Amino acid sequence: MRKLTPLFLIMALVGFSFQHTISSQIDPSRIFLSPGASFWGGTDSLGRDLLQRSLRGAGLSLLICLFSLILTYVMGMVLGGVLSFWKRANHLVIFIVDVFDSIPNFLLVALFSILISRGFVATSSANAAFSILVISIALSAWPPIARYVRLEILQLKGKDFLNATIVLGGSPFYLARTHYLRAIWPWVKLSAAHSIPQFILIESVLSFTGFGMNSDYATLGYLIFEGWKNALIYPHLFVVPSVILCLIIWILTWGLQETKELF
Amino acid sequence: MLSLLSSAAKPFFDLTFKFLINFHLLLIIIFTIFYFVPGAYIDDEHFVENTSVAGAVADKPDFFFSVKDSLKAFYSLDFGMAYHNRNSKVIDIVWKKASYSFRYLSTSILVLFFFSILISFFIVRSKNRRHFLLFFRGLNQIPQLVLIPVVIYFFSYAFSIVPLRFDPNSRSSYCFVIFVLLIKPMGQLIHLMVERWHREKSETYVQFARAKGLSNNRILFVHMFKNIANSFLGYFLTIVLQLLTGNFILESLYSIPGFGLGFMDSVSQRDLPLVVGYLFLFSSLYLTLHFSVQIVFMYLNPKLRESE
Repeated sequence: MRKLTPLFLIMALVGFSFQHTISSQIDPSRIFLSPGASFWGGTDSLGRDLLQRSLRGAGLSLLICLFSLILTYVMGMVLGGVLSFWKRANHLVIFIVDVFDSIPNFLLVALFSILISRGFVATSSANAAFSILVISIALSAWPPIARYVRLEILQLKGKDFLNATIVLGGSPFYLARTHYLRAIWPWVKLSAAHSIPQFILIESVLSFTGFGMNSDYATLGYLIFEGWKNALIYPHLFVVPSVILCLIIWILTWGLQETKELF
Repeated sequence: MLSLLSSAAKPFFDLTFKFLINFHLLLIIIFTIFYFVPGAYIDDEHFVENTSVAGAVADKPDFFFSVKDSLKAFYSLDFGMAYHNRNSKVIDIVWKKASYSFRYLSTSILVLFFFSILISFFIVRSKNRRHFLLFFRGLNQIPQLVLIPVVIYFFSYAFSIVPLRFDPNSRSSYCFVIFVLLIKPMGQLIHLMVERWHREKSETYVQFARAKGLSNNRILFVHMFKNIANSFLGYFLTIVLQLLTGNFILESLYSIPGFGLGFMDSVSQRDLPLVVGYLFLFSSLYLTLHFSVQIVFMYLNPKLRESE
């Protein structure tokens, strides 16, 4: 059950993110309402239900996180695999990973998103903003995965069973599919699951700093930033998205934590 | 004597060489962005053209067209002009903002370095470490994005202990900024360190030292600390990156005119040369930190010296 809770949460929130009507429910007669029986999370400056907006924002954050996770791992695995067969790549790979490691992830994503968005006519389109976020997060997060995959493959390379497969006529594709991929698959599953909270946080910080999607598709970081502007008078604007972000991070990490306690 | 000196100096020179190579490679990456991304580098003459002295600089060669000029730009860290501050060079703006932030960032990093070791040591020695660890575990679950605004809200809005906005003349503002920056990174570092201390406790050499009758403090600091220094180095550098990310959030919320706010402004204005300038600043800052921490630990732990 503990392992399934994060999965159910992700599915529910991602499903909720497709509710397009939420952002258009503007009602000037109910602006800045405090949390109550009719609106559990209160309302924002345009009279929209804040709890619904926050849940939808959380779903969008998760969606961005899932897409970037898939792209990151595909890139990392493919490039790591290719680099492991290129003998002269040692110093190059170490340098690239060093440089990527020396810049905070958030800054790299910011740089990539600026560089990518220069190619678009305007980033006001939701799809374009979504793609830019996904691609830039993936571009900044692939090097550690490539490094690990490369090391694993290099460790496997001299093994007898692999030599036997080559002698028996196994193609490189067969080798990659049946031996290398199987060897790294448990690590990939575990590492991907542990990266989800981290990716959500990166996405939230990006939205917070203005790199995210526009206000119609506001994610949690954007809602927190918007709420902070009026936090002195209407604290619920800031508290509701913050609590939801904390809860999501807590549930995701709780579901993945090992039950064995250190003390 | 000479061999002793050379053995002490060699790792330093090795690391310096590695640092210089990394720094040059970083510069190459930055200048490659300038070369390949249109609009990333704005030379002086683009702005002078509008004034009366345009004729005087019209013959000036473009960026990268002359090897001499390119090398000069490379080593003088000439990142061109910013889009929105037409009279200022990127490097000047970046340096001005950075020197503002360094006033409290340097203190924060030093405090993080020493206090995390000390506090983790005291927690390991304490009988109530379970409670401490539970507290730190809870703290680690709260993202910086939420923690920093909440702390600012309580200290400045709700209880008015510190000013509503950052005041450069007030000492309490500086202390508050350092405190807010350090809550989360220090909690994480202490948590990681305490767990690491505990894992190390089950090693044979620790049990042997205990069997010899050595005191707990001596075992922890003289025997165990050298062995966990390498892990601490890795943790510390990762946590410093978090501290820098926290700095962006803090500066934008508490109106501190440092490089975090400067970076945010340059991003919102789409000022690409300035963004690249800030990236150079962060990377070189991190490289320098990496280098200095490695040197400290290399002299602490001979094992690291040998592995180098």
